[in-house]
Amino acid sequence: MDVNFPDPTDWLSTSVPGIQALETALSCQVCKEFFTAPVATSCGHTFCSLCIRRCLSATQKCPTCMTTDDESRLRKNTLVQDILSSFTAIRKQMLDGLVIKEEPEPPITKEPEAEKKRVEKRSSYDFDEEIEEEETTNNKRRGKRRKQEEAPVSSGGSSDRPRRSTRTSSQRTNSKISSQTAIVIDDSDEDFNPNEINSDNEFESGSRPKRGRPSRVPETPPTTNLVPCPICGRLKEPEQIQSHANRCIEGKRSPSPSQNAANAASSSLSPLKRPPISFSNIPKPAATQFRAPYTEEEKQKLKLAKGNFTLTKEADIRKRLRENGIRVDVKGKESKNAIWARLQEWTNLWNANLDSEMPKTKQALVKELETSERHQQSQKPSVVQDKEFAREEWGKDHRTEYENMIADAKMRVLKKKNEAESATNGDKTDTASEPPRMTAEVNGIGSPEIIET
Amino acid sequence: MFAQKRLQKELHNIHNYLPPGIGIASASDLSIWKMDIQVLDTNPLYADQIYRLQFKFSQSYPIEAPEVTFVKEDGIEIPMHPHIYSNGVICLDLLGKNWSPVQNVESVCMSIQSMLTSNTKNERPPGDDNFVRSGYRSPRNINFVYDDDTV
Ligand SMILES: [Zn+2]
Ligand SMILES: [Zn+2]
Ligand SMILES: [Zn+2]
Repeated sequence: MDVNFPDPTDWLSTSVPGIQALETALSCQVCKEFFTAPVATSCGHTFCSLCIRRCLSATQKCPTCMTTDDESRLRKNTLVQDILSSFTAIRKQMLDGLVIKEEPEPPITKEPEAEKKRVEKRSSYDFDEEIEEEETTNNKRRGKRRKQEEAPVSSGGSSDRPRRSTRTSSQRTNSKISSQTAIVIDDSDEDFNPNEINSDNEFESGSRPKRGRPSRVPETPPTTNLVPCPICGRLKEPEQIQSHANRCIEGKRSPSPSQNAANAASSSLSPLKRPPISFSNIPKPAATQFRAPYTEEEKQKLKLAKGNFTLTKEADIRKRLRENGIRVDVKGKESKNAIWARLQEWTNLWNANLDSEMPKTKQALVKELETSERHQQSQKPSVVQDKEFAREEWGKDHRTEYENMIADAKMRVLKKKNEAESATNGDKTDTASEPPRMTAEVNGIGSPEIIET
Repeated sequence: MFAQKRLQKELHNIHNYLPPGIGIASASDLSIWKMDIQVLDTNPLYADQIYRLQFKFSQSYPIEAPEVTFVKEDGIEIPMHPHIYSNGVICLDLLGKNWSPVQNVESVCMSIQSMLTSNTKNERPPGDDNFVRSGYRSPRNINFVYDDDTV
């Protein structure tokens, strides 16, 4: 499992926060990940081929604008694919280069200067964002207009002032001078955990050093941590990387502008940053899992039709599944609904695979369907027992990870609450001295902050 | 599998940021989460109250809508609202026929929060007693009649 989630919000703590919008535009709004085989609907919205096929199987509507649409009208979005390939090839490099470096803990003698620098940064916030600034524990996601690199508006001569309480009160003074509402700087993060603000910058390769609290990221190595291809820089599952890289080396993949761009981008990387082209530490895939991309002609020929539930005979569903080497239980054991759902999912997987730049082999696809079905013991929420069973099964492997994530999420809520309290406590700004209040806050939420205007 | 991946991502993001008045109470695994919501203005119906939502995700989430209900727990009540039954079932088209996979836990919480914020009626939906007695728990199986468009 990949626990390092690349997310558009990663860019908010860099010197070019606007890249967030670019990355969001390159992400599918259904799975919230980068597009996989992007296709456009007839209303002009782009999704992963598989995501939109699944959506249209459920309701014949575009998830974004609710316009009625049909699978047959989906078209491959080559431009988005090319932009995405170029972007992902340089993402880590850009993130590393643009991330605002944490200031090292300043020695005591240098503190006033370090302090001044911080105040200047703070005072350049847009004041009309202050409500958000104040109310969020971690403002990086919504504090869109945070301008850390700008010249200070006014530092209020704060350089001589003692540490934290003065910093906050000088902020307040500034904001009053500028005839705005009171601003309370949400910087208790720094005291609580100085590393927090950058802690989700970890790239999906997992190669970035983790700087957050150790408990935030489970120590157990994720089983599907993505590995960058040393040739093109794309992130791949470890079990796929060998065959993928082989293909890259042999140049078997059909050349496209995106690959050229990706290759160009990665070749500019320092050789030191590239992993060695040795995969002895990576589990070998059982067999070749990929094939050459489908041509348009092949696609038209191979595309599977969805069919109609009532018009399709149960025997035909079984036959079609068996023909493709897909497991079907002996007649009578599985309902028509169940095998129809399997055929639909197969059709989605198959048709989306036709759109892929790196299509999987049929065997690999069948395997994927089986794996995903193992996790899908029950589709019907009303069958409580099956669901409980599936849930149990599901939660088992990931329990520790979840416990950690939840503990952290709760901690944040608690922090939020503490900050809210310190914010409303006037001059009493030292959150560190405030003992965290227990249980009630852990399950509760921060009290509403009232801003005087 | 896709539900799991998407929920992990949401949980990760939730743990970095949640809008004011929305918090995570628990997510013991990936199929049931509890979220706390609070109305941020001074609406006397909900002032100083925290309410708890339970999200149940099927393996088809986000293609399929989560099942979202208010839950009653120690010191936590079901909010009074003409579209919320006293057993916690919420009558909200976003969770039914108007569900879209682009929605997420955060956006659902925000919709429900604003549904409370804008309400002024201290009442339950018509037929609440019967409805609760009939034992329907799953909002998906109910054909809500949106006969009241003031909320
Ligand atoms: Zn997608
Ligand atoms: Zn659309
Ligand atoms: Zn490659």
